[in-house]
Amino acid sequence: MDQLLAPLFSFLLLYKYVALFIIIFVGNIIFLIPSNIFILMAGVFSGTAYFNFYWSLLIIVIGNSAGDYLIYTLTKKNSAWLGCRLRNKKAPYFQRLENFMKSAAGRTIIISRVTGAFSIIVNFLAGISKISWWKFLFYDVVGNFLVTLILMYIGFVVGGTWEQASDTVNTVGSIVGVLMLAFFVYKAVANNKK
Amino acid sequence: MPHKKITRDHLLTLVIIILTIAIGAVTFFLLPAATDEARQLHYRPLPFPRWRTQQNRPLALPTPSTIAVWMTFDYLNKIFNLPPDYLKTSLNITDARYPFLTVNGLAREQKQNATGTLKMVEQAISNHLNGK
Repeated sequence: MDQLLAPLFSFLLLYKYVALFIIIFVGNIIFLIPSNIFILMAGVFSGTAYFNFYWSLLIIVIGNSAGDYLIYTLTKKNSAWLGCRLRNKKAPYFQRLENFMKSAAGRTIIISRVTGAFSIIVNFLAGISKISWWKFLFYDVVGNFLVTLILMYIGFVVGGTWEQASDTVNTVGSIVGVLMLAFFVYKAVANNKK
Repeated sequence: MPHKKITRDHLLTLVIIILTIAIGAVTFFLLPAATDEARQLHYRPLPFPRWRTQQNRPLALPTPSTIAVWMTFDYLNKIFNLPPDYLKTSLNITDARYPFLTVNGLAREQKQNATGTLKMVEQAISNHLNGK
């Protein structure tokens, strides 16, 4: 992991806040970059006073929310076409998921922020379900703020032993992500049987 | 006049707002207002006393053995509180990008193995910390 991410860590140290924004923003659009690790690293760098804690927090929340909002906007703008395609293929299942998303948007969006890469799925579902702009933005910013604060704080405290902490953060994120996916599947299937 | 029913979502939103404000306030007021010693060492003290060491530094201080090839010399200078040109002189670095040069970048520039270069950097930092 460290070897694969090393060029990005260097990029972060060289270009500081600009790099932080780019990494977090891109990481929220594509699955490949584990943005949670970079949030943790921002905390580590803040602990050594190389980064400013509050600026990093602000930039990460903006970068995260901008990335989320882009996915949400793209899917919402194309929701008629996407929804039509999905409904035609998996009609009842997709409809149940859409209804669930509409009824529990806030909780789902906030919890999904912990999962890192998995949150893309929720952004996609929120866009297709046509959750209102303000509702999505509110829960997204609040969720991103809370998760960023916790992760940066962990990085701030653990300092030099961040690698062990990043393993734990990844594991927790993956477990929540998998549970969330399982819950979505359960919701779609269980409701369908009624 | 019709009363609007308070739903679970309304309550959840309220709890989230209160929680966010509370966490934000705690962070703002308790997170580091660095002491003079910490400023001098480029470390911020930790917010809560039980998380502090006697030296008022983070629990896991960086040591020469924790440095990595992706780190820049600017970062190393800062975390080990080294004089800006110490590593440049002791490692004979001629690259104009210094201190915004990574250990890996130096290894490439000097056509050396990254692990070997890292050991040299570790040694130079240890020498400085040990006052040699």
